[in-house]
Amino acid sequence: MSAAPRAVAGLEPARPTLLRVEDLVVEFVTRDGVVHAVNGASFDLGPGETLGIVGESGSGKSVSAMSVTGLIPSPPARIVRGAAYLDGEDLLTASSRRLRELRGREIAVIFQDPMTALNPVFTIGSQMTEAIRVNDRAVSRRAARDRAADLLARVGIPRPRERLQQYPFELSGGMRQRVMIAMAIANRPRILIADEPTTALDVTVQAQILDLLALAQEELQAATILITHDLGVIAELADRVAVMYAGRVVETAAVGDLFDHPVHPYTEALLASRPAAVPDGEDMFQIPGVPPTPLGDLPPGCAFAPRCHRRDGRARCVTESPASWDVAPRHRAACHFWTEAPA
Amino acid sequence: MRPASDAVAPVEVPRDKTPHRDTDPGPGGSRSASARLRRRVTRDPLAAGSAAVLLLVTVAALLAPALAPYDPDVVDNSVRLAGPSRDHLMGTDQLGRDILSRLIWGGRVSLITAVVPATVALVAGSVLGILAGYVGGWVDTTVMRVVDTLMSFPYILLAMGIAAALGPGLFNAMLAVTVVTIPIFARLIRAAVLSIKESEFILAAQGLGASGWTTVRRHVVPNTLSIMVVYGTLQTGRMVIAAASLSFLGLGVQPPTADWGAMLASGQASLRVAPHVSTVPGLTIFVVTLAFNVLGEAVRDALDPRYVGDLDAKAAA
Amino acid sequence: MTELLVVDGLHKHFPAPRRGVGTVRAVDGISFAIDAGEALGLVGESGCGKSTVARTVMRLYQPTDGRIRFAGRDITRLSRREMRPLWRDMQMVYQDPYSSLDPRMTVTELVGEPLRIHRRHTPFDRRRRVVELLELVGLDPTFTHRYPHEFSGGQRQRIGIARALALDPRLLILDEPVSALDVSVQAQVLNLLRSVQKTLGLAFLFVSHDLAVVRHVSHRVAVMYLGRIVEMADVETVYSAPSHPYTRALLAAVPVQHPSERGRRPRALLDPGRRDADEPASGCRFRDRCPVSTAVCRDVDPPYRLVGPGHVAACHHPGTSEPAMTGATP
Repeated sequence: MSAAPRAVAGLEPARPTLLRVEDLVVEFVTRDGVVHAVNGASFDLGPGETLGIVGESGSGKSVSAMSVTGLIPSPPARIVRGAAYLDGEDLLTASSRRLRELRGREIAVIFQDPMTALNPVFTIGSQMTEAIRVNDRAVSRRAARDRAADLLARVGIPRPRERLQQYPFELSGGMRQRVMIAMAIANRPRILIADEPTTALDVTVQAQILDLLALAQEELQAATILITHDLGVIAELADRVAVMYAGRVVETAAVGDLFDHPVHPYTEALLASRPAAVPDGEDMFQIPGVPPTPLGDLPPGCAFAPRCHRRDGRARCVTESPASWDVAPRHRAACHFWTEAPA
Repeated sequence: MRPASDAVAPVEVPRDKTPHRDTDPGPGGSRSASARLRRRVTRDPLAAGSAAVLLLVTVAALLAPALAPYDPDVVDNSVRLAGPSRDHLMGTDQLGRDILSRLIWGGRVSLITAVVPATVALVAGSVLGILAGYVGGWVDTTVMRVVDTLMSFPYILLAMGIAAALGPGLFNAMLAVTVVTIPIFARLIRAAVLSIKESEFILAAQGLGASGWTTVRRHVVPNTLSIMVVYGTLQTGRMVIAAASLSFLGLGVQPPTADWGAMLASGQASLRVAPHVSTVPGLTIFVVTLAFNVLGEAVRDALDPRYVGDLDAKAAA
Repeated sequence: MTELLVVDGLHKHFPAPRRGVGTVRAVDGISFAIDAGEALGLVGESGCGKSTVARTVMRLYQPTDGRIRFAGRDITRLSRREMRPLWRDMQMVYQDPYSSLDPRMTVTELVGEPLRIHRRHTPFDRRRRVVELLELVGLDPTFTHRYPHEFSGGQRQRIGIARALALDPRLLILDEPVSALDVSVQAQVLNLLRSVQKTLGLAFLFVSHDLAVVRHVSHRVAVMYLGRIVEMADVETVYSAPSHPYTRALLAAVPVQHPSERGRRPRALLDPGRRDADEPASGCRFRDRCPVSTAVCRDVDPPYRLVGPGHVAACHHPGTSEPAMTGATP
């Protein structure tokens, strides 16, 4: 089963792009068969811009963004096709050495779970100085420590020198996430990839971390890929949004456009099914059925068809995979019947 | 009544008026464990070979009277230490007895001395493990102290010690091997029970009002079965060696009964001139033990990923 | 008096895990009541003790202190055996759809287990009742012989709900029932819970960290912080006119619903310099993080004050912190 066809050449005016991912297809070969994690995802990231990739489990959002870092173990992952151009260089074909060079320096990652992303047997200080010195051999240990303390202060951690001596388990979840952010920005990367950075956190802490991410991004002018399932996080931080479903990007738009004029039925449904979208006392909008499993052969046609409220029983939705249409300036949607979207 | 928020874009999406129905069983529909096992055994040459070997050995042992070309105990001094020939496919030993026949008959003994203690130890060890794990408290402490004590001795040495103390003979050998193996299973099953005890479904069962006994019977035991099967198989291989070791030292079955370990021992004297007398039974022990191990691993792989069909958790991409 | 559940001064303490000395006061003096047919939402962040409240009320844990009355009867010190008949009337739905169902049992066995334990039906009647329950929760009854791993998370939660409803309970305790589900599936299960609550007239104790979710299922809401209830009122009041600074901060912290609202309101209202989860030794346990704490907050533990009809808050200065802009609160 082929992945989604390429985007229709569009009306988009040329704009500077820092990272361009084209037609990415990633599979995982497992004991029980092939998992089609990503089925033809394309998105691009401009300098200084925050791109939010939003989707539920099985949408392929993490795998697509993380595959540009070379952090997806392969095997079992296999990049079937696609390219990820950074400054004209295709990261998907780069050597692991080159990727290591880029990671930490040009591209930094903030992982989801601060509990497990920090090494429990090393102090915060040693992990941060390692992060600094690995990318800049010239820095002495003392200078690195100073920089680490400074970074901790900048991310809002009180008494930073004390923290350097502490171990991860002595810090709360919010603190750990701040440390991760500090480590990520330590080398002033051009691209930040934040994979569900607030999912594991309480809502009050989440608010602080979101503020911090906004600040960090502003200060570094780094382009950011923000992976999340939470539309609220998108509303807070993203400039542009790519909505993913079943391994494909079903809609891309500027954030305001996406919230005001969603074109793809899945985006519409996702927006409508937020609890806040409905007044009290009424049932919430629900999307029938479940997101598809990425294991096994993909059915032909649109992956959202079985759950689509706009399908109206039309056969084309299950026989033909939709192309990605330019529905408005800088707004794309992969739906056969995009013209029917409510204005 | 909170007014409709003006900050949320009014999305005109038709409400789902159909009753809340899930018509598809969701992701997964994974192949059952036995299907997975079958697939592994037929595809993987090592697993297939092992299954074949064990099948062969079992059938041969069962059909020994019909299959063995000669009486294993018949002494024939005219053909002592003869190499493999048409008459004696695997040659003869120092008393002129046909090695192949002794191998086949010996298979009975070896299998019995491996499988019976394995089963008994599994059952006894599981009972102790479940008791210790589920009940906890002083029961746990007592049982585990005994287990720890027994396990502080090297497995084979302890078996030999017990067998020597009890005296030679098939039954004593089996008893020794059983006693030494019980602690292994007890510890294993206890660990599994401890982890199962933490599951929410156990809490749910208690919340429904299930008694302790009911919970153990209906929830804990079925969830430990797969572990029992896997490690039972793996351990059986080890016991083939243990039994062979005991009889090698003269502690198991007594001559003239054919037994692989004893055959190995008796061939020592003639190792230089007729190596086949020892190497054939030795190789057999090796192959059978390996077969149990490989099969045990295949079973473990087949039964282990209980949640393999559950991709919601894994596909959180 | 239609009070179905009355909890009075409930405490549940656990021995401290690491230092070995002292206790963790997970629930430190909680009181509330639920009428028959009423849904109370219990909201709070991680570590506030809400799950412990749920399990203690269910008597899966033994209370350290306080009283629990269910259907007029004091169940605080009852043994498991004495609780058994009461568990027919009070059941629980668990958070994790992946571990709250025995993976070795079929759907029929799972949903039928309460019926079997309480010996209420013949096997034939049991099967019929199971089918009835599956239909009630929106699952295709032909799936009776499947195993949990063949179902999605949302479907498993439905199975859990069917199981909890099997004996016609009067009170359902739900411990984060949708937190582990995808957003598009959460709505399905929440709508199901709403409909079940209405048609069966069940009382709910709905525990969750998600404010938006709680709003849709509750008549009244109680907000918890570090083992205590800090505010309790009917749902509209809590969300539109909260009084306790923590409630206000919680509501303010929720991400915006539309990008145009960014930066329009103060969001992170709490002092970020808090010490990790160490409660202060005296006074209000929230004072270290509170934007309006004063000297009295340091010395005196605030009592519950009535700040409006049916609205209590445990604060010396209720209603004085920055109000959360309510235009877009969940």
